[in-house]
Amino acid sequence: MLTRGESYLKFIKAVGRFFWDLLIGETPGLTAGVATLVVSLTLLYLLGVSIPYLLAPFIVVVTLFFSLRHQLKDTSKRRRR
Amino acid sequence: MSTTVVILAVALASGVEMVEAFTILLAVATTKGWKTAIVGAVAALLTLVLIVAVLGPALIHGVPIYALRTVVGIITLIFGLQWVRKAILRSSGLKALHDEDAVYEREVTELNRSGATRGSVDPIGFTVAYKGTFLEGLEVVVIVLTLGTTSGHLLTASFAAVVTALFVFGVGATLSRQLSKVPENKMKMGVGVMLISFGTFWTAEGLHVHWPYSDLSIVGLIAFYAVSSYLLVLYLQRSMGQLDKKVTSH
Repeated sequence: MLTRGESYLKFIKAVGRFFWDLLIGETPGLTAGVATLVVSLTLLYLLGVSIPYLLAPFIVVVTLFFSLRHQLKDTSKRRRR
Repeated sequence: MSTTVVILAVALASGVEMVEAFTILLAVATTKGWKTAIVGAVAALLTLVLIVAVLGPALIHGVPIYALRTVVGIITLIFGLQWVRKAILRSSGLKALHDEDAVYEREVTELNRSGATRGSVDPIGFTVAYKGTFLEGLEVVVIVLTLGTTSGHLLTASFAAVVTALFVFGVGATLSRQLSKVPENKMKMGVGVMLISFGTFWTAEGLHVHWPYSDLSIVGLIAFYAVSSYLLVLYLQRSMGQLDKKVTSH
């Protein structure tokens, strides 16, 4: 039986999990991809290179692709077992 | 142009999240009564409005717009990528679709286990209703704050979110059943594509990228990401088909 204290504890844990999931969560690869985008654009700017605007969406799609591919590999491993 | 896209993104996001929140509210209403469910939902909505009312103006007046757009752009991009990733996985069959019926059954079972109602507003039912609405709404708050503050339409975005939430609750309460027929995944994909488009635009702009045609580039980004997401769904479906063939042949 769920007590009031347990309900509050579950609520606090859920809020904490929400913010963890928001920025890192189950998909650290996505955060790493966005970090790569930020670092690349900053470096190019500091080096005085004119940044092509298509670079940003390209990095985003590549990040998404690798994150999905990772999930696909995980699923295929589980199915083969 | 961007005002319409912001309103659309916020309304869609609010719609998706409130459909999920309503399932929990309906479970509370069935087991603990409508009064408990409504009090919990109203308390959560007021908390969410308070968060936007406090954080929104603080962000607008306390942080320079250029820095705000960059930071908000990064958060929007990460957040949007998570939505799109989840929607692509669900569309391709790699992840199960969000099942409102299963969520409803689970919540009802858990609430029944918590014992009989004491008083007019059951404390456990209230906590469940509050938690459900608050947590689902928190994602909408993040979207309202990010899109609203950076586009300069915080009030409009907040209004769109609240109106959509009330609309969903109204339709759900009238039908008196969970809204499992709503195409949640397609809506989630749409919001995710808009979020990553805004996120890419603001992040890159903050890091000195010059977009052709200024704000109009967002439309181009939306089209680009929509096509890319569709292709990624096809890629995953094809790969899953090949995998199924290999598993059955072994």
